Amino acid sequence: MFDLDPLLQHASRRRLATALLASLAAVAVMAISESAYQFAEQAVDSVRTRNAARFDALMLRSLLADAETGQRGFLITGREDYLKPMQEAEVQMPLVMERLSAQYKGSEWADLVAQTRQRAEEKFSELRTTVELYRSGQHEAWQSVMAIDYGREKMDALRQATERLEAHERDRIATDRGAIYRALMFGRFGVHALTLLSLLWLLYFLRKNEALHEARREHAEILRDERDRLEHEVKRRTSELTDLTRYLQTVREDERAHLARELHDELGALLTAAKLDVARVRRLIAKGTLTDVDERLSHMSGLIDEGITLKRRIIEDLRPSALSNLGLTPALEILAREFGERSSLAVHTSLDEVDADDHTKLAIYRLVQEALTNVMRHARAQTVWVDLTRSGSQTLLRVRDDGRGFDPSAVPAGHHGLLGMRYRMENLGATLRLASAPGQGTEIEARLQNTPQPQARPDSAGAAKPAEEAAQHEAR
Amino acid sequence: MYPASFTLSNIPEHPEAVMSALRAFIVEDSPVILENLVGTLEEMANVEVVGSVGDEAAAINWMTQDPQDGADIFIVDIFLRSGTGLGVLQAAQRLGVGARCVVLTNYATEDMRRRCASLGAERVFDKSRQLDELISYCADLAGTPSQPMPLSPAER
Repeated sequence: MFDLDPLLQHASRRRLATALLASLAAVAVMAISESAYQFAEQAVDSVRTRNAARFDALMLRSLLADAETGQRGFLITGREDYLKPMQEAEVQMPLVMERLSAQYKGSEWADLVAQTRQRAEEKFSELRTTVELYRSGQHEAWQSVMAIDYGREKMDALRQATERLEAHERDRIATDRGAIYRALMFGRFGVHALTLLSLLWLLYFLRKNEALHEARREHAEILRDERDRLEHEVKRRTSELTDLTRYLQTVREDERAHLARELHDELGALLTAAKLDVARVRRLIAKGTLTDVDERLSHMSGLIDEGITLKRRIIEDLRPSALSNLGLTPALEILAREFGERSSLAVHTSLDEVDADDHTKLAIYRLVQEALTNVMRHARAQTVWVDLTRSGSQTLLRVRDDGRGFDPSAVPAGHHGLLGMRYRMENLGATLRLASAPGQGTEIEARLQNTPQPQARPDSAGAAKPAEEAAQHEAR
Repeated sequence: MYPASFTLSNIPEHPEAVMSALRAFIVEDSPVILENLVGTLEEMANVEVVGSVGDEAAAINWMTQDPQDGADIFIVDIFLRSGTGLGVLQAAQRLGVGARCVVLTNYATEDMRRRCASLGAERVFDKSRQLDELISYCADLAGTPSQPMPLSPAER
């Protein structure tokens, strides 16, 4: 039968693993997503910082350039309002420098930043100097300062430095941007992959589920078939038993009716006749005709003898005295012989001594009786063989005839009698087999298990015994 | 038809006192009983058994042939091979049979006696206990009273 349990166990084990996997997958998705976010956030921050640094570098340059332009303007025109950028720069530059220094502190660019700072301060001091000189009217002085290119060198150096810084920052920004993209890619593929896996897993799960349902359906169908089969079998058996019960009751009533009829018709008649004889004798005596009395008494004695014979026959029919007094084998021999005489069939017997309890012996006797009755009624045979053999742990009884046989698949004549026998055998733990074919005779075979029994004593075999015993004593 | 057998050992010589045998027709299905009954009645009771049958149909058949004067007495058993003695009694009433009807049966209960009486039976005799009475009755009818020895207490 299809075993559903391993599949269910498998499925439930799977369920735990599946739940675990699902949780892991969910955690993984969240982790990927989270890490991607963190990474991107970092990178975005980084970009912001770098942009700030870049801006500062540019700012520095722009401040100084503006300051220089302002200085030039002032030097050319002498107007104080040209100095505004310088004042601005004076305020802003330290702040910017601080920021840049802080930004690059501890990195390889720290030196460059320090240099830049220095250059810026030098350039700014140059600007301041020239402005001071102009203010104090020392025009040749500031012109010679301009002429020595001090300012320009510093400015160039500054420009280079800031350009380098800026370029560096641009690169770093590019790198960071790349990193962001990678993080996002990572997140995106991660999620895609997990989604796909989830889908695959779902499909797998659905398939397994379907398989489980299929298995369950099959299982239910098998159970249904089994149940139908058993129902059918139960019905068959029940109807068989009902038949058998009806038959047994009928048979019992028939037997009783037969017995009653025999007792009434035959025994009753004999007794009535005897009473008539008595009446006649009495009248003869009254009349004085004593010569006929003897004849009458003789006749009466004959009637009584017939009565006794009849009574014996009836009792033997009820329960054979030979069976309990002489044993199974002699009883069967007598049965066979009498059957042969009654039916003019040839009867061959081969009977082993059988060790069995009284119920079994009686059952065997009845089976042979029933079988022989069937032979006489239906078989139209010439010969009958009755074999009782004992081999090892089994006793084998076989009754075979060479009559016309029958088709076992059709209901055979004498069916009910043998059906009763079959049940009787089954109750003893024996089997009954009926074999026949049209034109090929019939064979009845019973197999019994040998259970060694102690020799049964009359009072130990059951309630029916005392009545039988009384009957046996009567018969003698 | 059974041959008449007279055992008239004490018949007077006067012609007018010659007793003719009582013609009896017996309806009884047991051959043993019938044989012994015939013998007894003919020997002990001056009866001539003119016929006997074992079933109702045959009895009615015989009756129909000569209802008035076929026999002087019908002795009928209740349980027959087929049909019943009650049916015979009924038919006898119906056919207006001239003879008396008496019942001889193993089943002589009060109920049965009443039924037989209502169907025209003159007497009902129990086959086990009243055989003597039947013999006496027949003998009386035949005109030759026949008595057995006095009944013993057990038989009364």
